[in-house]
Amino acid sequence: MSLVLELKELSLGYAPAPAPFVLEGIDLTLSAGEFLILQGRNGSGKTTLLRGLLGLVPRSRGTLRWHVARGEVGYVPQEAAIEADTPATALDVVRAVDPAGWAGNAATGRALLARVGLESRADTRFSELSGGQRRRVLFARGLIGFPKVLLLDEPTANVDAETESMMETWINDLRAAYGTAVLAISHGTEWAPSARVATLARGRISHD
Amino acid sequence: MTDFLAVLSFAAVPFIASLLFAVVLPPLGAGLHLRNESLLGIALPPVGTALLALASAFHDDHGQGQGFFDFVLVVAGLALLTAFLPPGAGPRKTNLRSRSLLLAALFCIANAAVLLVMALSTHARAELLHALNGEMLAVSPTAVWATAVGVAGAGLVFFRFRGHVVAYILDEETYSIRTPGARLMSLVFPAVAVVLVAAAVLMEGPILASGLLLLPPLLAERPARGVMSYLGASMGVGLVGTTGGFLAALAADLPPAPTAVAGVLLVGVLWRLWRARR
Repeated sequence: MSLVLELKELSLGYAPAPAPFVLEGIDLTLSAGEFLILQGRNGSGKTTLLRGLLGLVPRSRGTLRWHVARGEVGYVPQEAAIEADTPATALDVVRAVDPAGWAGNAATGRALLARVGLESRADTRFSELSGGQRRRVLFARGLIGFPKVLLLDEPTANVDAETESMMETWINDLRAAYGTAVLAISHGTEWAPSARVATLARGRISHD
Repeated sequence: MTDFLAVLSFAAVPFIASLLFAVVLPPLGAGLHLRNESLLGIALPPVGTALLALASAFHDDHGQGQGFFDFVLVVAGLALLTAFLPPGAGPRKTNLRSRSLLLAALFCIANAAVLLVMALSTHARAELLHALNGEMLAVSPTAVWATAVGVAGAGLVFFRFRGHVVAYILDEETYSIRTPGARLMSLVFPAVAVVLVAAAVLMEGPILASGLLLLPPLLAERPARGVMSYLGASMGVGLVGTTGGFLAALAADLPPAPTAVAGVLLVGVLWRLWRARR
């Protein structure tokens, strides 16, 4: 399996030196088609690591090497950075992730929304959807362009039991169809028994 | 009727200028609102007016090229202001409440500065009194042609890159993650906003500039379903309201800027009521 992501002695932090890093000496690899859950308690640095992988953490040291292009990385945040009262529809939110293909990807967007059970809600305003439905929209958005790597931030937080049980199916379908590597950070791992699990504690990773 | 047509022919150039700004400012205001940046729409016109007042105070005659000098000065000032503001929406966002308070304070300071400069400089007072009274401003055909070319160019660029604009105004963080070259948009969007607001302040005055930036997005938001629908509805409300208001101002001998703002308000409310009944 070819590597898609490689971290060696990676340290990440928000405050400038000499403040300590939030995470230190992280070693991690992710291969094509692999499904890895990184679990950890609140404040263990899971979200910092994910944001660091996306280039959103200002201070870093060590090696962070992507073996795929930037546009081939899908990201499903825990919460969308979208204003709560936006007139944007669910379809707008999904389509906007691929701005170059805006005109042509309406059909793809509808198909992805149908895949997560929201075919009848595509033209509903994002602000009028329930919290669980918004999570599904964000998941569908992460799949635009069928990325080679999918990063998920707490994918089962605030979702109903049905969505939680479907999440692993959607992920495994994606892996089987496109060889997508999936890295999810999550409190628990019971929703995805097929995943490899690593634990983040006190700023370091241990593999289970 | 004959009198009205005579006045209309006299006012044709300012009228066309108003329509051009009614096409571009409402969608720009809607974009700012989607980015939670509406306070920029409140602060930029009075700050631009304050810069114009300062420029007027330091030159005695409105000689050839002075209008262009004023325009460049206002653009430069507004660009500096937006560049040094704390980051708003997007991956680098800081304290949005502090940013909002700063912009509201700038609104207050700029308005006070305009009145002070006008009190201290008779030339600035002469230059700005018409604009602050909402009266029709002298607009040269050359400036209108330049505006028309700019608006057409902005429209074409928007249509070509509409996906990028929507992605940027909807969720800049995700846009910056997925799209190479996203940083360019975070420079281009504010730059376009600054140029349009500066031109609007100079040619239409701060009242109509603010009205077009703020009222159509406010009134078009609730009935809109989708980003493009929102931008289009904002433009429609701005255009129809400005047209009606400007013609009403000519017919009733009222100052055009506040009458156009009233027209935008009326059209927006009527459109919203009509949509609510459907």
